[in-house]
Amino acid sequence: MKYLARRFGFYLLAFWVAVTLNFLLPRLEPGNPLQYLQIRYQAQLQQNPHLLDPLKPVFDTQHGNILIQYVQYLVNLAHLNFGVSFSQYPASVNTIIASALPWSLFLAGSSAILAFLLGTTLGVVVAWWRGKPFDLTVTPLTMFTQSFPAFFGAMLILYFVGVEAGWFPLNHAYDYGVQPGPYIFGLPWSWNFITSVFSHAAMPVAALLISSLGGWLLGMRSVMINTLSEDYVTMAEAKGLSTLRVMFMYAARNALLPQVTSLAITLGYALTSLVLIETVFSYPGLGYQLVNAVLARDYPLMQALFFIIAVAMLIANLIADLTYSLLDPRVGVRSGAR
Amino acid sequence: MRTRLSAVAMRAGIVGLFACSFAVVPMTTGTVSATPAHAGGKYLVSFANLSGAWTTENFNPLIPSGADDFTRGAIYEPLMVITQAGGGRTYKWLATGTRWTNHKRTLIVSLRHHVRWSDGKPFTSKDVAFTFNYGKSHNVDLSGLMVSGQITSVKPQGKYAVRFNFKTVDTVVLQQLLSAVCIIPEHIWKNVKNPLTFANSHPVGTGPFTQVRDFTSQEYTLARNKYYWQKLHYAGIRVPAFNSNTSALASMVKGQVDWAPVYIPDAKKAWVDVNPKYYHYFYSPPTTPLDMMFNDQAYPYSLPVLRQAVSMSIKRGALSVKAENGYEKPARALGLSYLYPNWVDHSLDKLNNKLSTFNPKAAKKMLRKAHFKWHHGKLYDPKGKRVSLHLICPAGWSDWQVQLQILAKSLSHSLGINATYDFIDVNTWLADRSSRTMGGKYGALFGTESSGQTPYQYFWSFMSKESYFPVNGQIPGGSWNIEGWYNNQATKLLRQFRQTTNRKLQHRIVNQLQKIDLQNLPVITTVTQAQWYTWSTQHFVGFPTAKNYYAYGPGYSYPDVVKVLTSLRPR
Repeated sequence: MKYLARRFGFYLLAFWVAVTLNFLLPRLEPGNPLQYLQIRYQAQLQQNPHLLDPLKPVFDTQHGNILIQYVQYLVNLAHLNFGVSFSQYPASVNTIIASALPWSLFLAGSSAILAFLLGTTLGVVVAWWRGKPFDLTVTPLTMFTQSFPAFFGAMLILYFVGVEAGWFPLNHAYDYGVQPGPYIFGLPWSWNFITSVFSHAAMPVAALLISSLGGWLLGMRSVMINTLSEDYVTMAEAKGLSTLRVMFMYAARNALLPQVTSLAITLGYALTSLVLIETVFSYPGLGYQLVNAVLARDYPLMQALFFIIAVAMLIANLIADLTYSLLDPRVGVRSGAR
Repeated sequence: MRTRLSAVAMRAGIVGLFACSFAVVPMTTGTVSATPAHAGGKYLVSFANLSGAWTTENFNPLIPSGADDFTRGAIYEPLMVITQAGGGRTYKWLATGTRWTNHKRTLIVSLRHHVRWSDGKPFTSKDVAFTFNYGKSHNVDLSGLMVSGQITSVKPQGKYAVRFNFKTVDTVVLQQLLSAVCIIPEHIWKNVKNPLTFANSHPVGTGPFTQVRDFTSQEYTLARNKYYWQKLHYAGIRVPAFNSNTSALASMVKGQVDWAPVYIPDAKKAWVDVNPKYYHYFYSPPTTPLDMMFNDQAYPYSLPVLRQAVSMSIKRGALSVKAENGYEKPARALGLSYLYPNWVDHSLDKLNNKLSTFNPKAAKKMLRKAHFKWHHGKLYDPKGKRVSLHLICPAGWSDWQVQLQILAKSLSHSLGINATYDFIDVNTWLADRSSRTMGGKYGALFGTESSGQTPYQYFWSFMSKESYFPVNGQIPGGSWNIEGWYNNQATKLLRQFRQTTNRKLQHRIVNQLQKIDLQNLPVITTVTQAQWYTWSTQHFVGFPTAKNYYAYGPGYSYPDVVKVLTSLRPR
């Protein structure tokens, strides 16, 4: 219990630091949203210098006592009131997030789970037959695909699979005009919509997958190799159990723990890796909105998005901590005794 | 606990493997393009901004934000479409004529009959007067003329004419007044208390495509206005959201976009050659040039001879080819030359040629005559101080960065100026511009001048005392006159220009202004400006082309966009 309380205390502190940094960073950055608009509407301003005049008083918000602003910010945050977006004025930040968040969760979640399952399974297999041709080709290959940044893989996929081969739609989350159809339990269930969503997600998910597979595979492989040298594995083999049974039920089961921890953390980090992927595929998620927000110096939207990312990471870490202590009681005991 | 978890994980692992192989197999819907429905040219697929991000239906024409790609133009229209494209053209739109009376203190604008709003109500002079008066009372005056007080009152005169009363005689405001404003319906907007927070989800306009359909955060449709006053040849516009060149270009080369304002580094190879029959681009329309600007109040750059020598020591051809892929053409020293060819005074050709041509030998001769000196190839001003120059531009604006490098190199090579350069944060750069500090005393940066229906706005923006502001001062009327130069004679001439409607007199004035420009060279021209404009004639024809540039090509150019939208025809 003491361990848990301590962890919660730590996370509260981390949360406060994240929230405060989120308040300070945009204010330390030079420039303001109006100057961004001046660049965006450069050509129009040349012909019509008064185009932006109406917005001037609206965006001129960086005045006043910083402490009062900070308190105001905390109060708004407590009410989850992120204000009004500058770049999509006068839409509220909450509306923007509500429309973008499901897509990011879908993309990040499905790619992280797929990568976890595929990578871990492959890790088990390559560890079992380590040093054999399968291990010698698959392991270096995934290490190679992991080594280049996700957006680079995304651009290659966009070009070869999307533009050249034409197998998948090039952008957006589903075909325009497809009706999401009947909603059951708050989710759309039209068959056309679902197939459309999957075919649109194929390339972004593949891009995220190839860049993260290597980590899962390598992680599982190294833990597996340790586990495989344990006596009970030798014993199971000696009993004459089938290879698959020994591989998965005896060895993999016990090697899985660190992987589960990383899965929780990965889910938290997934949002950050989406930024460039969503931009390459014009996928209407949080990453897409974040790029626009940063370029447009849209502070309210930026702050909300960074807040979400920070919270996601903290929660992910917290879950990892908790499952660890639940799965392996020694963690809690040792920390508690210290 | 442990047993259950790993058993579940394992089962999920096997399912996952299947799911994954399933995801790699192309599905039947996957081969269908994202925007298939414009078969037969029913819908024009186009976007006007590469930062497409919208969540709510916001079609407010008075605030440039949200889903505003075609709000101005497709939904709301101007009184007239006045453009500098194609040597300058005027198209009568909601207004059919103008007449000055009351010793040019009153402008009477006559309106088109039988125009209806998209809700069926008639469009009348009351709507026009309302638009201007509302702009003033609610501080959303797109003309700038109401807020500045230049127009003192706007009143309907009968059902189809409007009277604009002026404070002083000002004949150069027609473009601002007729072309920059979006006319809004009184019966809707009189109930809008705060236009800045009004999202206008169901817009009512006089434009060709006013009906918002199937709005999603990734795409929406503007469908035909059934009351439109001209014949329309297609059903509407589809606007997809993109926020990167990569993503937009991928859709474009697959033929999914008809019209786009996108920059492509090697447009011939990456765009036209993909489908030469249909794919086109035109990046180099006549424009005012991009200018190198010094702080003209600081010695020695306050000396016209030094500015002239600089102009003769830069290779504009190299700037065009190396920095701008040849899309932006080398400029003439007389910046007027491209956009206003009919106004050029050819008796000045000799001087213009001299100042436009790379000739460091002659430049040095001029400087020597003005008591500049060289020691070991380094240039010293008549007061004996080393001549230095610090060029700045925003980091990441890669073409400008290359220009700076070429400029700095050629100025130090050919003249011996201690020329350095720096790429700085864009916001610092903008701040330097608008305060005229330019990152230091001898800073120079890039900028453009204003452009209007006549050369008046162009010269006004860098030669008039009215546009001048001191370092760290307040900027009057936009961010012009960055170099901080003015001349009393030029100021007087410009004032004279706007008080007459006599074209001959205006030409004489512009001839004198050109002479003052060349003799003083307040700003140094480098290359013309490009406009990123690509189109495909696979589904639609009638876009502006290099030969027939009847309006500016990019979809963000208001009001040109409405002329283009109504000129397009399905193939």
